[in-house]
Amino acid sequence: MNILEIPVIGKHQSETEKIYTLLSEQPLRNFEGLDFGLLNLDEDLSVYFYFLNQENENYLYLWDIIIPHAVGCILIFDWGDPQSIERNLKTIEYLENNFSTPVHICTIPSESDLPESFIKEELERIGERRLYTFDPTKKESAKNILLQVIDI
Amino acid sequence: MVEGLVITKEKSLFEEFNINFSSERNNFEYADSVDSAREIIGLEIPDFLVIIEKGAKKTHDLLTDLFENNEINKIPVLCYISSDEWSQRDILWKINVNDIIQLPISKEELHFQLERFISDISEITFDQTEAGMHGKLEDYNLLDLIQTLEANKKTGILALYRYREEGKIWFHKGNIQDAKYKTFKPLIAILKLVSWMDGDFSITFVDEEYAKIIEEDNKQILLDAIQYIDQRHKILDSLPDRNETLLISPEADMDRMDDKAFTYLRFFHGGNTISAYLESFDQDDLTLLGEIRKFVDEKLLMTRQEFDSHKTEQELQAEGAGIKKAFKRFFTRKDNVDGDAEKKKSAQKAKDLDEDEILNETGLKKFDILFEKESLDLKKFKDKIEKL
Repeated sequence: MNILEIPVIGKHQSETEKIYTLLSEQPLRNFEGLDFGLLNLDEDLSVYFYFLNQENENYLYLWDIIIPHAVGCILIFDWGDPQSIERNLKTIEYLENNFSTPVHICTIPSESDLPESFIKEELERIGERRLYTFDPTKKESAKNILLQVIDI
Repeated sequence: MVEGLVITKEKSLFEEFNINFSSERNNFEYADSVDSAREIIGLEIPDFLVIIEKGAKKTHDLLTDLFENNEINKIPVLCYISSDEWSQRDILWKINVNDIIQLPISKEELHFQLERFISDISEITFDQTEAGMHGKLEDYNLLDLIQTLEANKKTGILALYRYREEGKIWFHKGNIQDAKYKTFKPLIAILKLVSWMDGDFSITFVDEEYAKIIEEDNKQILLDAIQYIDQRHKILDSLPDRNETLLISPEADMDRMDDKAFTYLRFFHGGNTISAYLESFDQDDLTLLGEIRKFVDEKLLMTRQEFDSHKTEQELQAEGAGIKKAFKRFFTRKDNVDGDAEKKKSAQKAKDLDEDEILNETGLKKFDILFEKESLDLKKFKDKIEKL
């Protein structure tokens, strides 16, 4: 069995899980408080999604276990939630300073008047950051992000 | 409750309108085009239309497009046009709009105009009907109302309102002729409406003979309804609260399920409530609740709390190996990770404990118990994902 692991980080559980529920019919799983999902591609290939919550610092040590082994790390960046922006920027910094795993920043577009261009500039400051738009209503969008994550 | 449908291309205008003027008595829906307006009207006919389309000609075209359908023609219309177009307003009066208001307008004045308009249309509606009565379902439920109309041999329409939903039952000389609620069949519509314990009702007595669509007589319908309520209560009492989010068990094998069960269970993918479930399928509640009951009995559906504390069979088996072992080991020292100093201390402790921890050339921590990406053929993954 070949298992590919992808941590999905975000402020809200519903947002991080969305990318998975769009792709897999399998229910969410839980192991002692850690939510994860299994996408079976065939008998031999599976993708594990780990949903990591930024809010719960007690689980940060899990990041140390999971992230170094992941093919890429997905961060859900919601423009519609101004309070999460600073937190997300800190998370990106933490990920970049502590791990060599590529960080894929998936932004959920919003209609609000946030200084999107400013933050985008901030996010693109370092050349290695990968930035996508994630439409939580479309399976195709989740699929494209997954393809980008494994395209290394 | 008065329901208005606001048609405008600019959603912000509707939002402003909605924030300022919706109340316990008024409620507004939004449509950005003629097509979406038709769709909304198809589901439920609003009490009035508000068109915010600045240009008189554009408003005229929009209305004539909508007015092809005669039913729409009966809905009172309120138009807003800009002062530049004010002189053109005659074309709107000619197609019988009920009122035209000039923009820009102050919020207070708009409020006043809107109140006046709503009270005017209430009078029109009142004039059109011969006589009627209205009240709250908390005081008279549907069963009481059916019996009252039957005893008095009344002919007319009984309408029930709850939140933003509406159901109707047609009577002729006290006999139930037909019923409509969403897309349900008439008898199922009545059974669904019977379970409404709150909301409003109105009865309009109209001297018109309605076709008998429902075969059963009142006695049979009432009997079915009473049994139905009884059964429904029994099942609901044995299930988790209908507004609690339920999740699919990690052990549910969706691939081996038959299509029907799959469709019902799939509704709870990512979490959903029994209330939402009952509103989403075209079957009667008993059939739907029966399915849920099976899922709950077989532990295929569970509450978030149950879900979080659930250990799957597979996980129990895998406890000694791989990633599960890693999780378990790290969870046992989760109390030590508060603050940086504590974290370092616990990392050091972990290092001492974990013989199998190795350091790679970048100095990053690495645990050999996790799956290594180097050994994976990503091309194979890519091919499979592309076919999803």
